[in-house]
Amino acid sequence: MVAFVHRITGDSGLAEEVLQDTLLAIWRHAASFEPRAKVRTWMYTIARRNALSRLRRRRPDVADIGDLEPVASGAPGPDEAALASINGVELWRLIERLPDTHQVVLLLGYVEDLPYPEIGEVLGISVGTVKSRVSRSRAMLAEFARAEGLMP
Amino acid sequence: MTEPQPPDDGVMLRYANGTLPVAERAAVDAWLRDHPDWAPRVALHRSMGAAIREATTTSSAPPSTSFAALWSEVGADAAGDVVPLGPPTLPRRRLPWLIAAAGAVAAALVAVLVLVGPGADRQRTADSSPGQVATTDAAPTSVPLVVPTSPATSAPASTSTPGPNTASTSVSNATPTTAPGADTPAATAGQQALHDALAASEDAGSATATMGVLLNPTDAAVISAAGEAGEEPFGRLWGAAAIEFPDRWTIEITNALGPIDAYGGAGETQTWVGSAGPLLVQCGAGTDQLVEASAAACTLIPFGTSFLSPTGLFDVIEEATGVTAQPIDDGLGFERYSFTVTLAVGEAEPVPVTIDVDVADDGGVIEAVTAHAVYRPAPDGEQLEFWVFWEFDQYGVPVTIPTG
Repeated sequence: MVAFVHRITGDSGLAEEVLQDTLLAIWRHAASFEPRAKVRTWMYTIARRNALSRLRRRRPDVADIGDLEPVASGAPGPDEAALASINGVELWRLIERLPDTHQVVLLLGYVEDLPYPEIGEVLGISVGTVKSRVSRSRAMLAEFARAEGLMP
Repeated sequence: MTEPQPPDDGVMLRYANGTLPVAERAAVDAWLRDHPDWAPRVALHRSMGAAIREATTTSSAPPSTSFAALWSEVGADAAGDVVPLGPPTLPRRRLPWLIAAAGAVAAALVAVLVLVGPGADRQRTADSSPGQVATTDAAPTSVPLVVPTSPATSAPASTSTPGPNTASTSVSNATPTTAPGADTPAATAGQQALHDALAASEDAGSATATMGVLLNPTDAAVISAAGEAGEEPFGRLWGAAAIEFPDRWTIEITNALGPIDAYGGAGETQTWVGSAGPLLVQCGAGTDQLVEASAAACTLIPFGTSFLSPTGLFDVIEEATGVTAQPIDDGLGFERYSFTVTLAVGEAEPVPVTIDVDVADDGGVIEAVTAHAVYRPAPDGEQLEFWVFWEFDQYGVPVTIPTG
């Protein structure tokens, strides 16, 4: 969750504050919880809202043009095979260049293993947008890799 | 016969993660057997997952939050409700339960005002009969805070009583100001005096944010309140209240939240229309209730609740009915709870008063919202005071919303 919040806030100190707020709330209010939502989703939702709220005090929201693009849903092309062959360190370096909005989606999917609908819930976006961001991430990674000569 | 569709990308990702349930995994296996050209997708998912996991688990420093300190901070007050979890060795089996306890947030509004009995039938007299409030010449600044003598026994379970852990601060002595765009006068000296008195008498342990104004019958006033909740990370509040009273009161709450805030759009105005009368309303609206849009989630303080006025007790609520809840189609997830209470003070004609409480359904984050208003004759007997108190309870901790 720290990584998740850090990805949103871009600030380790802020991420820790958000995490502490969330944990504190959990501790204080554990007894009266009625599990209706999925626990993990709920937790991340709260953490995200905390994080975004903090961020709102610092900077305005910006539109993510990537969300406006259609979801690419076709079969994988040669780029994907080439990307898959890049070593992990290099691949991570490319991933870090992705917009934060996209990195967060990847983090929730790959590290937290959240299904796309839950990622959408956590981030307050549609499943379509989740798919779009993942798909767009792959495309951007290919562009980055090609620009750096990591793939043809 | 239609061509079988490829597995959803999210399914494919979890397949690559190795966390897809067995039943679904078999379907992906079958798809990949028949469509080997999809293998690179799985390979890329695996590569990206491995790269991200490796980087985030090795480069992300653990939180500096001291769990021991955290526990010591919350342990005392939580002990009665929460099973203590030894901080350094959190029992894993309890994690889901623990996590699930996360609660939530709120936003909120503060407003207050006053009014005057516009007609002779509402004038207070010194020879009050039982149930009526005697008047006094005491200056507003000497007026103690009106407090209910009987607590809201019907408050919903989710409504917490301010306790030692309450995130409370005293109300600031903010000067009421004119709301942006409002064509109404600024706070009068009387308003300020009342506000100061209210602030001065504020219980340090209380978690309410209050403002009060005292108006002449022909005045209109706008007060505004803005602030950020003390411990609440995103309980920001901007609000403005206005009251006009020729024949009926019109109370306007202007939501001045910025457009980027989830709790409302800038410049939105929600109008509360009421009429003269004292009232005390309490509504508890928890997350679950909001999700279910259950009007029953809101309860009213029992009829006949007494209040301590400067000169004695008086009963204010004669009847309270019609708690409803309906979503507001503003795209912001607000839910509007409406209350109609019939109020009577002394010899005044009982008057129904409707109050709308707009509550943000914050995707399972809001825990409880309480609101109540207090109405009483002013010490000079010529005016009525009407105070509205709001409490927003998040994570079980009522939050003070400083006025200012």
